[in-house]
Amino acid sequence: MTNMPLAAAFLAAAFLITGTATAQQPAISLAPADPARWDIAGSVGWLGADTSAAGTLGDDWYDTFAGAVSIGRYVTPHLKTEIHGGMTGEGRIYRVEELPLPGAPPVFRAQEHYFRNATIGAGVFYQFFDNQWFHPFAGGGIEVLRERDRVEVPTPFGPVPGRVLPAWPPPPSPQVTYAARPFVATGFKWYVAERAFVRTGVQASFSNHRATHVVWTAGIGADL
Amino acid sequence: MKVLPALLLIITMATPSFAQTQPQGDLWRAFAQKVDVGTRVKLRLDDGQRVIATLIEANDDGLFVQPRTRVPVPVQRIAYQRIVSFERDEGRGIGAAKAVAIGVASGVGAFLGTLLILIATID
Repeated sequence: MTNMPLAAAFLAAAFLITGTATAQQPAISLAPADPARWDIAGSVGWLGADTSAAGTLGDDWYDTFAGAVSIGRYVTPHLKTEIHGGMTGEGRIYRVEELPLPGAPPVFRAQEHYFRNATIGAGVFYQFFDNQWFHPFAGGGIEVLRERDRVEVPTPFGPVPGRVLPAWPPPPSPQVTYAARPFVATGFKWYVAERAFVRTGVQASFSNHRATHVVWTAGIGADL
Repeated sequence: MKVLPALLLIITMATPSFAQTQPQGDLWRAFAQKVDVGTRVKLRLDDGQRVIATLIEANDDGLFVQPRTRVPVPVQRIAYQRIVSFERDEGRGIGAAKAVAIGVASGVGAFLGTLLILIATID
């Protein structure tokens, strides 16, 4: 109770100060009379993906061409929700599988994996600056990844040349997996006209606390 | 009894801003009325906002400017007492923003070019 008068004094002072502040004119508005509501863009890029979770010997990362389209809705001049969809080309990695051979050293079987991805995602992005020609942005969201793994298996090779090896069943192919992953992205929009822009950025999606898919994109778009 | 000193302290801290900005406003008025209309000017306001604009008119009531934006915005009035800094924007040199833009454009161009070459080489 002893602090009540002090609190009342601060409250009165706060009203005085905020009253003065609100009495001031608003800052210069840089918002256009007809602000953009939508943002559509298409992009191409390069994807690097980590497959080390598979746990076999050989390459971990593959890289391939990627293409995507996106549509965004401005909630405020700075905040935008966006959905995007994309596809990639086939990225190849080489792996070696160890096969047991009773009474003899193991046999190794090479595998060539060809990965192809499709993604669809939704996120929220913050766009810096007001009504300028250059706008950096940053954001994140969730994307669903469909990964198709096609495997080609050349003839196995063993420790004894010429020895007839048993016929191991080939690995199932193609295998399709789905995963939902968080992503973060950053980049910039550089306007080349009032409502047309070039956009480039980098996006990383995560699994088990590490980046597994990183894609660098560049493309064009427009505000509608 | 503790209330009065606290109030006095707060009001004392708040008051000098009026005492200082009012004469400053007069100075900016005098200065602005000597600048040619159509001049590109750089302004900094008391809320920290910085803007590059075209001077449309400077009269006794305030400064009328059109901010230089990508999508044009209406002419706006600024009260002189809100101006913290006001200077002609000579636009000399390429400037940091322009340098960044050129660098970025070169990077994007190189990236797209490389990408097109890679796409062309895909079987």
